[in-house]
Amino acid sequence: MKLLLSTIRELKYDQKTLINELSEQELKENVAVCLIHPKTYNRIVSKSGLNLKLTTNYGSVVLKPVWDETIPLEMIYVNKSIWANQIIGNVKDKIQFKNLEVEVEPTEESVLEISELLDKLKNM
Amino acid sequence: MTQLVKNNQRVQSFVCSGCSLYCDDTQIVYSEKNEIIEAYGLCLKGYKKLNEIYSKNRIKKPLIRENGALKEVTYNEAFDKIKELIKNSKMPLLYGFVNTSCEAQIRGIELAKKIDGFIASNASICHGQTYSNVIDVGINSTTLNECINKADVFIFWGSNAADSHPKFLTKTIFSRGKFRITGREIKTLILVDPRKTTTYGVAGVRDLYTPLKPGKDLELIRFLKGKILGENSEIPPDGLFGIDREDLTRLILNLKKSENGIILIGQGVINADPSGTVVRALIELVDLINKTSKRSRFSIIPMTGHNMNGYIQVALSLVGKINQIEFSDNKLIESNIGLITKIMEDKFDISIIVAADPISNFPITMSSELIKKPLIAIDCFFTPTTKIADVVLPVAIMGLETDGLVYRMDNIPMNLQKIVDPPDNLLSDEQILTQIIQRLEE
Repeated sequence: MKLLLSTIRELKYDQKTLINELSEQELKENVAVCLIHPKTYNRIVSKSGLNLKLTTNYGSVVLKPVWDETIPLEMIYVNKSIWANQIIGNVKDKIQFKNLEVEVEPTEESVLEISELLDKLKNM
Repeated sequence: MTQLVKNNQRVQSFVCSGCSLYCDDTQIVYSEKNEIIEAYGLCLKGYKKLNEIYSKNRIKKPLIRENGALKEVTYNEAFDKIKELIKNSKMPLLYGFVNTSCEAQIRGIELAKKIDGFIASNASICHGQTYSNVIDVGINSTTLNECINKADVFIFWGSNAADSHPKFLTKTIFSRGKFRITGREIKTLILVDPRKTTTYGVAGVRDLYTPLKPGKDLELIRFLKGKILGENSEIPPDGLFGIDREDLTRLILNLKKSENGIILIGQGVINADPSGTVVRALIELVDLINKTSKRSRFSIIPMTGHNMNGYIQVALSLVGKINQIEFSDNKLIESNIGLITKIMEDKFDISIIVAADPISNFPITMSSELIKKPLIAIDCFFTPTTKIADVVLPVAIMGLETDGLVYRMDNIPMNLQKIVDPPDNLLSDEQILTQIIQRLEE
C-alpha cells in the first residue's frame, strides 16, 4: 500500500538518548519502529505479528509496527534514526525528511541490527 | 550558582542542558561524599541528559582504526594521526558543533580557517534556513520571559514542544505572568499539524487543533494573509486544507484578536520545506498582522535544538554568515555550495565531526558518501559515527562535566557550569580543538 512517510523525533523512540541507556538489541527493539494507525495496519496485514517493509526511491527498511491512533490514515511515521535513514534521501541540496511516497508491505524479514546497517553502508 | 548546605548534603542550582530551553530552575543534591543523589526540577529529557554521566556507552580512551578495528591509543598517537590526516587533506569538511559550547564553536571555525576547510553545523539541515531568512528579511521575535508574562495565543506550527522541549508548556502556557493574575485560563493553544501530537494532550476547550494536510502550509498561509488583509472569500462548508470551516474561522479570529501571540516553528515546517519558503511566509504573515491590526501582535520563536542558536551567533559574529562557510588561504571565500552538495559531489577528502552523529542523522545517500573518506570523530559516546570513524577522541560532556556558554532558543546567552568532574580527566571539545590547532602549528 502506498502511504506518505514522515520522519519525526520523539523522546520515547529517540536513538540519540536511548543509545546511552540500552543494549544494541534493546535499542533495535525500541527505535526501529514505525508508527501506523491500526486501521491502516489492518488493511495491509492479514495476520498479526508481522513486520513492515518500507520502500522508497532511496531504499528499503524493515521495521516493527507500533499502533498509534493519532497517525493520519494515509501516513506512516518513523523516528529519525539510522533505520529511518535507509529510506530517506536528498534532492539536490535538500533532504527529504517528510512527505515521501512509501510502499508499505508485510514481511517475515527481521529488523537489521545497527552493525548490519553499518556493514551495508560500508559496502555501498 | 546558589548553594545550600543542610544535613551534610549540598543543594546546588544548575542549568540543565537537556534541550535548548536550558532550564535554570533546576537543582541537584550532593551527598557528603560529593556524589549526586537527587535532582529537582528536571523533565524526562533533562533527567536522561543528567544520566549520561553514568552511561556505560562512554568513550574514555582515544581510538584509531587499525586493520578494520578501533584500537585504544595514547592521546599523542591520536593527535599525530589527526595531524597527518589534516596535513594530507586539501578539502577538509568540519561538521556538527551544535551539542557543544560557543567556545568550542569558535575553535571549530578557527580550525576550519587554519586548514582551509568547509564548516557546517547541524543547523544546515535544520533551522539554518530559518535564520538565513531572518538575515534577509528580519523577524519579529520574543523571549521566553515575554511568553510567560504576556503571551495569550501559542500556535505550534509543526512543533511538538511537549516532546522536543518538554518544559516549554510548563513555563509558558501553565505559568502566570507578572502582569496578569490569570494564566492557563486565558491562554489559547493552537496546533497546526497533520497529527494530534502529545502537545495537544494538554488541550482544553478553548484550544484548537487544525489538522493541516501535509504539504499545504504555504496555501494555508496565503489564505490567512488574504483574510488578514480583509478578503471576503468564503470558506467552503467542508473547510480547506484538511481544516474544518469552524476551526479555520477560529484560527483567523485568534490571529486577528490576540494581544500577544507566538508562532512556534518546529521540525514539521523545517523538514517538510528545507528551502525555507514556508518559514519566510510565516515571517511575512506575522509582519502583516502586526502592521495591519490595531490590536493583535505576533512574534515567532524557532524551536531550535541544543546550542544551535549559539553556533548561529558565533558564525554570524566571526564570519557574517551561517551556511556555506568555506576558507581558502586562511580567508573566507564567497561560496554558494552547501553541506549536502559538498558531500554528494565529492568536494571533501576528510571529515572532522564534532559532537554529532551524521551516520544516524544523514540519509543513506549522504552517509554512504561520508564514510568513503577518512573520518575523525570527537564525541563523548559510541554512536554509529564513532563506530565507523578512523580516529576517535573522547571528550567531557558539555554542561555536566565542563563549563561553557550557550544560547537559549530565544537567543539569550546562558552560562553552563560543570557539576561533576569528567572521568579519566577527559578534555572538553574546546580543549581538544585547541590542541589540534596547536599541534598543526608545531
